[in-house]
Amino acid sequence: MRTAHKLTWMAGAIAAIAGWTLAISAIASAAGVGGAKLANNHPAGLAQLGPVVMQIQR
Amino acid sequence: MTLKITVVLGIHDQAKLDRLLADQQNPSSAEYHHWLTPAQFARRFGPAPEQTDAVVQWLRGQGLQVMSINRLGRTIDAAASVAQAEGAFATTIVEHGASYGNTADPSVPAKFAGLIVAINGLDNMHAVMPAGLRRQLPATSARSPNWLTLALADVAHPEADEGFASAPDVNVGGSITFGPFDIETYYNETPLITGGNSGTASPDCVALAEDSDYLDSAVSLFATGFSFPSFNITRVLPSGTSPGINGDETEALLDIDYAHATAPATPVNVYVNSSLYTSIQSSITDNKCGAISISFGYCGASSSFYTGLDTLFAQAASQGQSVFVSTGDWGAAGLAYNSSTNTCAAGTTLNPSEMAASPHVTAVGGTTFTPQWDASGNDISVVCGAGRNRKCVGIERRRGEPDFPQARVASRSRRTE
Repeated sequence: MRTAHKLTWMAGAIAAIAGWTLAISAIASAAGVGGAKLANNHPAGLAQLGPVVMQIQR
Repeated sequence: MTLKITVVLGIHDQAKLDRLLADQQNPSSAEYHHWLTPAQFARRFGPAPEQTDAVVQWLRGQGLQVMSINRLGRTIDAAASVAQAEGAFATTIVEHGASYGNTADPSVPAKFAGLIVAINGLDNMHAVMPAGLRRQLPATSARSPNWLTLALADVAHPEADEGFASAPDVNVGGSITFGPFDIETYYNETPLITGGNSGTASPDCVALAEDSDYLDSAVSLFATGFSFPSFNITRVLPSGTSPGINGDETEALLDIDYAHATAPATPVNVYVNSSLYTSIQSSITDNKCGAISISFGYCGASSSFYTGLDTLFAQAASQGQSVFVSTGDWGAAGLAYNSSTNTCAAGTTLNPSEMAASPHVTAVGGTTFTPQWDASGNDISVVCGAGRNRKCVGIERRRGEPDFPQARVASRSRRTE
């Protein structure tokens, strides 16, 4: 039971990562490359949260 | 989920602004103490109206709902769904528990490079914390029944009780703590007050930036309890509505009460908004007060956030407003962001107070007084010299040192120091 639950969780995580990657690609193509990046405009603490597999509710 | 986005616009001709700020402090310059108004600052250093309009138009084109435009404070507030924000700024927002944030720096169209300096609101992984130290002191022996009367006598005749410089303290709920007269003693302000200098009067004022509203009756009680003059206090609500009272009310009351106790003749303007950034911004674009006091610290915010904030502090300096930022009592560890609680906590590594580190503000270090009680319950930790000009501990200007930097009040005959 525990193994099944773990597999389900892993499958969900993989699916989320795949979805996330697709979303990034879509955004990059929609907004266009060549814009000006705003340096240091994202939370440094995000990297310390460990694996982030959830896309936010839209 | 709807994100509240704030697009921060920068200032142009930074070198020219730096030169002006230096000249405004140079007695031999023609610009010496020639302060700008917010409108003059906007014309000389802010974005042109058509530049701001272009950004607004672009945001609307991306589907964002522009809520307000602050041309004097160089911000545009907008509401956006996560998808709209991701599309407009070419980034991805993810969540982890109650935290969410953009995984990479946002992008804006190349034509806005240098014009837009920060996008705030893409994450919630930052917080603000009041700098006031909350500490329970142990209860001590009962005080004389007329201790308050003695306190007032102490202020009126400071030479009457040499040796008990900070008597009395205040008994609150059985605990002895500091009262306003103790602060006056510790900072050697009593000679100023007894000499007739109780702070600059209206139209000058002290501005306080707060993120909680406060109870009016609590303020009145402080004044009557210590026989201070009535407060000349103005509540300023930048958004037009009160954010209500929250856990930071204690800091608001502390700031209000002790601004009044330190300079009883000086009016107090309290800028209250749920966003401390907006409160600070409003105290600067309002340009009513010669001094602005900020007793908070941020944690977790990206450096671009402080870049935007620093342009406001530069504007304040050009307007002759002295900005004072408390560094708190957390030592060199400062504040760090705790993602599990979405709050600030004392850090374990070096964390400078970014806001206090701005070259355009005066950082005010945290002060911890350590009372020592005598048999009568008086605090004898400060022993002063004799006579009216007695010297206690405190912050004093040493010979040859300049006045407070960028101090508009310094140009006036009566100063609040």
